[in-house]
Amino acid sequence: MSEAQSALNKIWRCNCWFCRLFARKVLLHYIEKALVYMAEKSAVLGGGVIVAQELDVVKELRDLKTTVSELKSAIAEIKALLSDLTGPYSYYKPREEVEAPARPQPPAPPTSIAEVRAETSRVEVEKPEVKPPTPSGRGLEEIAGVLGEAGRIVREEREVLAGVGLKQAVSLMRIIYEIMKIYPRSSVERMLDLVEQLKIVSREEMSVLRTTINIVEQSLKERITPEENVLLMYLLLKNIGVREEAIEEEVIKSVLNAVSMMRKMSKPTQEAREEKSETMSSGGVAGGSLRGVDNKWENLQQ
Amino acid sequence: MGICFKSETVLRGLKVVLAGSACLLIGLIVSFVFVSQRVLNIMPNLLGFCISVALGLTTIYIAASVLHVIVDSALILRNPGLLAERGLDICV
Repeated sequence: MSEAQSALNKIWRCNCWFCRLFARKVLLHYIEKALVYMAEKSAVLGGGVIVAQELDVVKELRDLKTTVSELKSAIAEIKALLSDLTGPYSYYKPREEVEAPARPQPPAPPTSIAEVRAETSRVEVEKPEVKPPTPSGRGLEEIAGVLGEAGRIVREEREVLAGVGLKQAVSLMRIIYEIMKIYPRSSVERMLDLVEQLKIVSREEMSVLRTTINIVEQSLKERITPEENVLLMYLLLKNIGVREEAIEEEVIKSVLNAVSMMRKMSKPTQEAREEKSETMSSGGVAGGSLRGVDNKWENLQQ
Repeated sequence: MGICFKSETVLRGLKVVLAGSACLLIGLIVSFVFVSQRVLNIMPNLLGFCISVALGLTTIYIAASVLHVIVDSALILRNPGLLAERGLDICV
């Protein structure tokens, strides 16, 4: 009963006259009912069962600990690998590794005693040259060189990635131009919403798509061609000081297209002009004054 | 040898305490009103008034005791986690 009493003291700390008279009595009755002896089972079954259960628990705990430590080591290895791959030095190879294949073959073993002596004396002479003590300044220079090389590689990689992104953006813009010419914007947006709901593309990609659609819509309203857009982008990037090969290629293509179009447009006019001059010459002297007028008119037009 | 308490049973006990206290409080107030009226009817003088006032003060004292039991039990019933917080071993 002492357990029930102590439990009652824990639950109901007040000891006023009403609590003693009513609340504590009622609660004591119910607490006695609620009391459960957890060791009853073990007393019935005997102590061996508990010991076996405890041993099992200890075994499982050990297994769990070993598993956790293995997992930790695996995670550490993965982290190291990732850091090796993503770090700026991942592209760098030590000079020894690079030069290893080009290293000359060792000379053939000496055959006579005189040759052996000569070889040993040469080795003794060369020994200090093979492993000179590296001063700290040289080490710093080497580190600076390595860092510069790594920075260059990272810069190149970034440029390549940016080029790919811009190229993709340009091709995307062209495709959207074609789509927007045929279909209205609402249908395109509905499709985009569906794609977004299916979570096929990420949020950034969706924003890129929406921005491109806006650009294309405005360009269509203002009658700007995709080539002109590319040119505009090229001009802006050049003014900022960014050079992209992908954009330059596109610009060259568009300029070539424009030139070829101009040539095509100018060809029929030239042909017509030649035909006109031929007819005028066949007309004789009577048409001489008329020809002069025509030439004047042509000159004015030109 | 460990012991634990079934929380359902303890909570049932608390419910009984709450209900009993509430009934007691209502009965106390009703009885005070009834008794004071009777006293004032029987003795409509200063003595009757003084008895009624004394009765009222006693009722207030008893009602305060009952009320704190009601509040405490209601608190535990609303938040059974208080049992464990107060150090009672609850069976899982």
